[in-house]
Amino acid sequence: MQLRKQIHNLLLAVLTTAGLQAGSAFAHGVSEVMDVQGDDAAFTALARVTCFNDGNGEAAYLMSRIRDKSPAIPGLLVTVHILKGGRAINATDTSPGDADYSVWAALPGGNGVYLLMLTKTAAGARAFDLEWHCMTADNVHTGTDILVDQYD
Amino acid sequence: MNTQVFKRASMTAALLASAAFVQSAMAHTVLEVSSLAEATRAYNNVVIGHACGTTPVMGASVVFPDGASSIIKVNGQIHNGPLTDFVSNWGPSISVVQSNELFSESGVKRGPTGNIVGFWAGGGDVLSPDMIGRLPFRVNAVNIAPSSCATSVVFRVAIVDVCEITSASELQAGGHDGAPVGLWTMAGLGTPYDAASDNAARLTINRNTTSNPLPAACGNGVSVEVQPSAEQILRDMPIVTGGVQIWPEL
Repeated sequence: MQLRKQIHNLLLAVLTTAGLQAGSAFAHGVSEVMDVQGDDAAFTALARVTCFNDGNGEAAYLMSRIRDKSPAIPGLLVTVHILKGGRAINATDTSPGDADYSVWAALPGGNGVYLLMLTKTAAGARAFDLEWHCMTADNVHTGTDILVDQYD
Repeated sequence: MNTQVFKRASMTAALLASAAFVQSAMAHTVLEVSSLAEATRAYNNVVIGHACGTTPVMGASVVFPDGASSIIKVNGQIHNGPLTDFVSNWGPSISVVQSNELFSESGVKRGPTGNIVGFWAGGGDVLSPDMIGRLPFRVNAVNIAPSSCATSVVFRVAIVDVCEITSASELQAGGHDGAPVGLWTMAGLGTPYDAASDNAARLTINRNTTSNPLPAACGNGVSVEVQPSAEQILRDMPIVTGGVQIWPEL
């Protein structure tokens, strides 16, 4: 059991790194920053995450969390939303500018395609880190792919 | 990284082309795995089958349909709706494997939202005309939309084997055995990269009718084909590295 936990933690560490690299794709040239001009309260990022069995097991849920790295501004928060099959959930980084992520948002939707959306509450550039992982019912990481549909 | 990537290869190409025993395997450039089930990942290769006549291949440019501007055909007829009518998650759904086993340099091509839409490789050694070459990538899980009637979706992958650095206007010169490139692309798009006939490689995603059964109203279902648009080919086929286009020559 301890070995399994160690493997799980190692996988998460590796995948966290992979996630941050994939985050560059979100940024589309402005690495991991939303609303670079700082004037678009409606800035939204939208992606499709596919959860599938890559050999580690059938996906049970998608989880995601976000870390807002920019200095705190009153009234300006970033949120990650997950949507699938008529259900949705979200998590907000309520302490921008520190090292802490938001809590995990987890949506149980099984295998398939989830929508992952990032929003913020006001105009202002926000540098962020985002993680997303498809997980089995036993909380083992399983097949996770992402495509970006919108970043504006 | 600059045009030296290909200039070094040109010297080796000249030596190989002058060899008396140069042979041509006369096999098309295709994908090693041309068909797989939906919702599965598979490692794959672009397989370069032969030289441009007797001129060895020094690099290749590969473009997958982006799914946004793509031409969609259903049982051979143009479909004017979005690709999501048939596929839930194509953007396209590939990852590129870093490798210098064949060529020394490579890079990804990204579309407007940052998704990988293709890749290129070149430089270092050229591909010996009597051998085949492989360029590795991964096909990520592709899901056929449960509500669609698609039994399979074929993605046509446009590939150009580069044997000689020329401008875009010179790509069509020389005919099949004397051209500076091998055009494994679609015909009739009106781009400099068009083939004489539809020669683009095929990647077929087959519906898993056990886990994703056809809706009852679908009957035997339909076959879908997705092709890169002219707009995408013009945008994505050139090889650009470090902000500089190194092929075709400008």
